[in-house]
Amino acid sequence: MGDLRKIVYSDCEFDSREAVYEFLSEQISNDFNSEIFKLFLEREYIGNIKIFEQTILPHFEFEKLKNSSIFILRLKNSIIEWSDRLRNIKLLICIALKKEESLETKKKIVNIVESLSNDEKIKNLLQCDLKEELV
Amino acid sequence: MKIVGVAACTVGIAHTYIAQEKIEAAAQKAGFEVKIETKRTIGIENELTYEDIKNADIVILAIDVKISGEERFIGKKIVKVPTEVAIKSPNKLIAKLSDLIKKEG
Repeated sequence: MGDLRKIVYSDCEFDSREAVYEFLSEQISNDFNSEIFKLFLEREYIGNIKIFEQTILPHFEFEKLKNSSIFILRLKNSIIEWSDRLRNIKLLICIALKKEESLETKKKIVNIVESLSNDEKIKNLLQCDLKEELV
Repeated sequence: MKIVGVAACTVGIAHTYIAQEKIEAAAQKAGFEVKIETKRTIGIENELTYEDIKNADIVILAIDVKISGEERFIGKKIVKVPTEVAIKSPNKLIAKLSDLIKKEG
C-alpha cells in the first residue's frame, strides 16, 4: 500500500487521554512528537471527534510528516473521563495525514475509513481480534 | 419528500464521509429521498445536479468549513449544522428537517 502505514494496537493499558496521545505521537514521529501531541488536542478543541459509542476518530494534516499513517488503538479498559466533553472511550481510529499527500494514498485512506465507518463494523472492532479483522 | 445536501469537514478525509452516511441512513429510515454531496480531500463525490436541487424540499449543509457552490441553493430552505451534529444525532436532525418542510410548506 505505498507509503501508507497501518498499525494496530490492541488491549493497550492507558489511563488518560494524555497518555494515549503521548504514545501515539511517539509512534507517528519521534522527531516531532510534542508538536503532534498538540495537534491531537487542537483537533478536539475544533470539534467533536466522537463517531460512534466508545469510539473517536482524531485526525490531522501535518507538514513535517514523511508518511501518512492510520492507527487503530483499542484500550483494554475504557477511559471514563477522557475529557470535559468525552466519556467512556475505548477505540481510536487515528489518521495522521502528510501534507501534500498523493491522491492515490488519500483514496486508500478514504476507502479504509469508509470500510470502518458503520455501527456494525465498529461494534466488531470493539470486540474482535483486531489484527485479523483489519484492512 | 426529498433532501439534498453537502457534507464537508476540515481535513476532508473522515468526518465528511461519516456525516454523509449518517444523514443518508437516517433520511432513508424516515422515508425520505436523499442525496448528499461530499467535498473531500480527494475531490467532489456524488455531485448534486441542477435537477437534484430543483426537486429538493430542503437543503442540509453539514459542514465545518466554508464551501464553494453554496449559491446553488439560493431560494431553497437551508439548514446548516456542523458535521458533528449529523454524526451524533442524525435522526433528530432529520426530524428537524421534516418539521421545517411541514411547517413552511
